[in-house]
Amino acid sequence: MQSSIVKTQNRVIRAEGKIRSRGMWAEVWRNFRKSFGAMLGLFIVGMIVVAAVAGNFIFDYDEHVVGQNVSESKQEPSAKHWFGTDEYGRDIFARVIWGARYSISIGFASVLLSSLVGVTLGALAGYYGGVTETIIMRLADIFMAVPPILLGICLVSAFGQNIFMLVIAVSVSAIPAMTRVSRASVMTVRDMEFVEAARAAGANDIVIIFRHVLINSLAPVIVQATLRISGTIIAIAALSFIGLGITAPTPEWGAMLSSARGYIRGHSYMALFPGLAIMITVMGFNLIGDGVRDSLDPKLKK
Amino acid sequence: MIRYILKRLLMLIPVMIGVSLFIFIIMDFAPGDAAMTALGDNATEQQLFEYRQERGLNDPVFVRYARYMLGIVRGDLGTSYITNRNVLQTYLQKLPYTLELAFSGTLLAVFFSIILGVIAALRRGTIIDSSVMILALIGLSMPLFWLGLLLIICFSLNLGLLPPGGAEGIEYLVLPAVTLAVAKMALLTRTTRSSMLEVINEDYIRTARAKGVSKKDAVRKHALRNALIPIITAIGIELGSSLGGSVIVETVFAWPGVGRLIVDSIGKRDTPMVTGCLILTTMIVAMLLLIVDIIYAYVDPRIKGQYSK
Amino acid sequence: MDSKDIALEVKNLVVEYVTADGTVHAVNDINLTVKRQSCMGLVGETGAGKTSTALAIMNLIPSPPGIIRRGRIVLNGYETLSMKDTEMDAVRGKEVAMIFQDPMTALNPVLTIGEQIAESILMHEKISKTEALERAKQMLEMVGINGNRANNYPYQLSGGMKQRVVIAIALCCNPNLLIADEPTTALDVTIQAQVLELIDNLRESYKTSMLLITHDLGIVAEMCDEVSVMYAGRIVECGTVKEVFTDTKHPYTEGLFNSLPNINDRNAQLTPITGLVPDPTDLPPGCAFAPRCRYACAECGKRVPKDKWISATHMVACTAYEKPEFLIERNKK
Repeated sequence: MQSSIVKTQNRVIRAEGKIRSRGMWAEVWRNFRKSFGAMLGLFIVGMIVVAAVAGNFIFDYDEHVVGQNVSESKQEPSAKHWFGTDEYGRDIFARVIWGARYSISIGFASVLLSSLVGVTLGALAGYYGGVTETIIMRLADIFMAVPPILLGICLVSAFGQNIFMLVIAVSVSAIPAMTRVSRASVMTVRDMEFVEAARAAGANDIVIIFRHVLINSLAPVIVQATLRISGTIIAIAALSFIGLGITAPTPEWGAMLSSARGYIRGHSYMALFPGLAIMITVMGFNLIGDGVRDSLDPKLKK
Repeated sequence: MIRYILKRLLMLIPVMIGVSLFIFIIMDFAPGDAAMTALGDNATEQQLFEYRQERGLNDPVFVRYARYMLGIVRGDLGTSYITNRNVLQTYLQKLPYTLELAFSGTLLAVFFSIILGVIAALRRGTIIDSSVMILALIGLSMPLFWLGLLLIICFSLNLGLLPPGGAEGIEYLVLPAVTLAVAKMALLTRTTRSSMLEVINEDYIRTARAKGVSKKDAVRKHALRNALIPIITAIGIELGSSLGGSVIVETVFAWPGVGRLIVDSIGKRDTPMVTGCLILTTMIVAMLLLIVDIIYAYVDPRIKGQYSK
Repeated sequence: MDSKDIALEVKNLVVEYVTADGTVHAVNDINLTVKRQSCMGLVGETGAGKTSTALAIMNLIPSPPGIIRRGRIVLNGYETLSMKDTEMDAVRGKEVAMIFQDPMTALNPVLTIGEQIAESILMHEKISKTEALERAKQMLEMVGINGNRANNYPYQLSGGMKQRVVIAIALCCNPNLLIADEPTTALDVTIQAQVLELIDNLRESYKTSMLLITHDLGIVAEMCDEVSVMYAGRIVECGTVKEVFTDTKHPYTEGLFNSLPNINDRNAQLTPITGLVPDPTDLPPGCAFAPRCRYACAECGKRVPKDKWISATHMVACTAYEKPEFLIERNKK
């Protein structure tokens, strides 16, 4: 009897939480759709994803992307090679399209990783407080004190250059910020009445944290995460550019710019397109990030 | 106020110990071996072992860290594997270049972004506002190293106006500083604009207008000073990130600063040099942020009040 | 009436806010006269257009989205709406000053209170900065704050003290007209009485005319000589306090009185006005109060009621009074 009451109450509380969040997300999407910039960003990113996927079917990695063809090296953009060719005669267009997958997937992967770790730590710190909070937040202070690019350099130079390490390196520098944001957000939700109600109904900590607190404190975390994707993409390209990320011949945009550097005298087009690709991609994510922020917090927009 | 500064300095100590420990342990995994470098590839295992034993390199990492920290207190960060030069001296030799670049870039960015941000906020919704915001978005989306390459292509190779790299005079500073400034400008312009928009609708601006203060003075004397509070935070963060970010710009423009030193040392597997540079740069960034916080307390009396009690 | 005896005259004022979601009709063709050295109360619910009226008098309607569509405002002989910005800056603070609703946000957090009072004096008088700061200290003493606290920042003061500072800012240049917009709403009940008394005393000694905006009929009875009742951007009844309180004419005014608890008859039922304030972007045609009015007839929904003057000072805008026998319940007893 007792337990059935608790269950019913839990279900009611859970249902309320769901209605609350579903209503909120519908509202957010409505706001998001109204913003021209946000929709443009979504379109840009959509097109890049489509191009990355299509590139898989159009180009053969070994033949078009890394295959050398010295007889056609360093050709200006033409009808045959839209973006020209590089020093080994590889088609820059094919390489730029192929490169999209690295930027986008590493960007997403590291934001996802840093969000997961950051949110978990932030939720623990915010919900339990006390010693747990002190330890987590002091650690966050330490990681925050190291400039992100130096942290990345440190990790990559110590553990070697591979895509997995790159994801870790870029994520680690984003974790403290995510932790702070989610801790602050959890702390405001923690004391709200529906959490009290769940606690009174006998729900255990894990249920409370995941079902009630986290769901309702996600908004600022999502804003922070979307805004970070663009920075992450730039960071990856930057590390590759200074030779600490993905290396040639892999067609990562930063790595392509790095090798194009040697040919800017006379072959400046080589440095144009990979950079343009980074800029457009980053701009797309920036527009989405701004849109998400504005639609989650319409007050800021006005 | 002095108590506030002291308190902040004390709070910095554990963070710095944590940072240096973290960097030290991570760099312990880095490839590069003093014994191998010193004795060459023909050295026997026995020779390598003795070399390490002599210098305490076989001790556990925490023992070596403790020794390293004692060294830091005495101003000794070890010597380079490669050049055998003192790490601290080499660092201090390169630091002025990096500071010069970071400060001039940030200053340039602050100057223009406050003007642009305020104008955009005051002309909100007009074509001026939209143009400023679109430019800021482009600046924000442009990777530093690409912008640097484009500037070199345009101003050095095509127009021949400015040198593409090196540091032999003031004209060498222009392109790297502008490159560094553009991304910061984008961010600071956005911060200024949104901070200004928030402040401009505050009740105390209306109070000022009701006294007879003109629109212009209400912006200059009342709004800007309040809007400055978040802007100063952003400037501090930007200044800190310019020191870290100088790695990129220095690589593009062959600027002989700390960033180049770090990248070169990684290439040469010069672990003591990299470790030292990372720790020192982090410390300098932390000190800069502290200075910004102190300025912050001067602009916002509420913060000063919290600590003078 | 001689124009010299009039501190403020508002004629046919229309204020609108043009937003993406429609035009908000905040003030719809109102007339208002404040006699010299008297106190006019402006009463109404939240959203009735009281603050918009006050801001229009200060010529500080936030624009965009606000716009003063029509009307004349004569302040001590000055036509303020046709003034240039610089001329208007000279009028604000000198001829007309305003006390705002929320003292917590009305003061600049990064300037000392002394600086904020002195700024107002420096704006309108040719004196040195040190003299102005000295005067600011005197002003602080006048509103009951120790002059030594001139160097304090707003965060160091309580809400009641902040409001005293706001009052000092408003009165330091001895304005002809003081507009007080709900000056006590944000304060504790115990502080409210002190602040009101302070305003009343200072007004007496400075011989300042006042427009007091409030939703509290008790404050009106205490402080005002005349009162105008505002509903949905129109003035529905005005007159001397005695006329409006004892010979209430408009059904809305009656509704306001009936919503007040009566200490002498604690068994009496409170009879709130039914329904809600109309959406200001979509006001009903005719009388805006008609949908909530217990006396409303078909005619009320069709046209805007005309002003009917009962005496030289007492006006009511209600279509029902076109029938000479009409009486509201309150007057039947």
